[in-house]
Amino acid sequence: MRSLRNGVLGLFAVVFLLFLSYLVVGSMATEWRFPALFPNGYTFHRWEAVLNRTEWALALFYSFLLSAFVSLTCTSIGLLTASGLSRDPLSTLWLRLCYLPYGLSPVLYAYSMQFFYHTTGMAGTWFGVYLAQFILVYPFAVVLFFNYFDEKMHNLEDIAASLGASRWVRLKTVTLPVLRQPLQTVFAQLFLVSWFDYGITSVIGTGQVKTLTLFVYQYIGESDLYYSALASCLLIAPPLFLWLFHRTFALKPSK
Amino acid sequence: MQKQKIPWLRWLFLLLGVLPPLAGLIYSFLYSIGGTGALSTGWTARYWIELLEEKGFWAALSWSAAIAISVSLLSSGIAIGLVLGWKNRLDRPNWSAIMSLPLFFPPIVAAFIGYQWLSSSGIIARMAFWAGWIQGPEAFPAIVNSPNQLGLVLTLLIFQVPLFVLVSWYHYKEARVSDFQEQASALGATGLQAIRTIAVPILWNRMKPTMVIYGVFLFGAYEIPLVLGQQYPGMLSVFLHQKFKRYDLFDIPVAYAGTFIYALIVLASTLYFFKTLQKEVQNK
Repeated sequence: MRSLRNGVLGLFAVVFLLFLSYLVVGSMATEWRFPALFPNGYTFHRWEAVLNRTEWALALFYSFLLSAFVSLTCTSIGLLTASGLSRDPLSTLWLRLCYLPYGLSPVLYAYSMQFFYHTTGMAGTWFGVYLAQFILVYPFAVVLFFNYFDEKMHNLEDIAASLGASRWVRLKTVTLPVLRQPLQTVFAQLFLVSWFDYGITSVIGTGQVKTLTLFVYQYIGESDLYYSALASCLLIAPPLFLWLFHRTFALKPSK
Repeated sequence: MQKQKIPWLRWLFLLLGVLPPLAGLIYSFLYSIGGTGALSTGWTARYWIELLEEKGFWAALSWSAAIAISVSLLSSGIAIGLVLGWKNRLDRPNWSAIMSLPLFFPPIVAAFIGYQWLSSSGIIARMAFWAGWIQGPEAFPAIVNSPNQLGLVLTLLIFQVPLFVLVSWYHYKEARVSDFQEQASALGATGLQAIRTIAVPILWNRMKPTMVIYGVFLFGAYEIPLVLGQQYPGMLSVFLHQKFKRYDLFDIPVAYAGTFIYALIVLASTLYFFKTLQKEVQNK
């Protein structure tokens, strides 16, 4: 029984490492068809082509910028909102209202808001996609931060206030330092929601805003295994490396 | 605690968090009854009748519900089983790191991998070929894009279970389940009894909010069903997306009616479940 359990755990590890290596190998395969378990040969020409083509470099750069910006603005505004609303007498109502967009399927949400972007001319622009993603992600931020503004946090802030700290001083010297860890987690989570988004970007971006997820879907549609795998690698690598870096260096105890 | 109102924050929240989905909901409804849209000729109920009479819509709705509920329940059950089996190992940081790997796979990539591994010429089929179990791709059972939805469910499970393991592991520690188990054994319960009557109910109750949230997400899942699911009627998001994109422009109001129904279901189920779950928590 014990070995079986360890086996299942090991299986998960192996499966996910296999998935990752499948993407890397697939992006470098010369030919890989049924029934071959491994490609006929390997080539770097796709990677070279991609790294030399401005279209891809720009997609990577703009996708990253978009997600970083969405996450940054949502984290900060979401934090402020949660901190204010949690002290509001109607706080439960506000939290409930957050669930309204929280559970909606992004693609259907995007369709229901499409009209506003078309009439304002924001559809098909990076700013339009930014705004749509912001509106999708912002409630996540509020919900995630809401839990941290409990009685303990309010008491801490109240003590600082009774000692004469203004709102901004309290935020700077009490709230933000206490929430250092959650801030990082929420930022990372929101970044991923935006970085992985396909529904909003494809509908509001009308295919003109080319983020990496759209590239993956385009190549899947063309059943191009090799380029789909490559685009998937580019999509997974940045967050994965940042996370590994964070685990290795930032999480080590400082003393 | 000092209660205070910060009016501008409240307005900001209403403007950014509540107004957009509400506006979308109202717009969808108006579009579906002919109140707006390029082809609108006046108020009408015919798009609603068309939608409600369409078998595909009901099939999509029931598929979505069935898959959302079964995948949530299954993931949770499997995860609890694994946590109770592995408790000591999950404490090691490397194992919990492996369990968080699926977080880095966007749904679109999960769909791609699911397809490449489970289709009839995929990696699993190739392994079966080399093992001598099948003679060619056509002998491999169709589980991708097939009415049995097996490929879809399997892919969702593979990417869902590890995250559920992390969540139930957190609850396992937070609720001090192992202490309770020890106490039960000290009072004479066998290991299995302690698991069945103590550990499983505690974890199951604590996993309920997670199940509801993921269930609602899965109900509207789009990318994975798009690539791996049955082509028609598919899951709800896919079905409605196809309607939005169809060449027949008279399908668009029908799609908006479907979106409106979908949004209402999501809203009602989240509010209902959170209310009952909140009560349950307060009663304890």
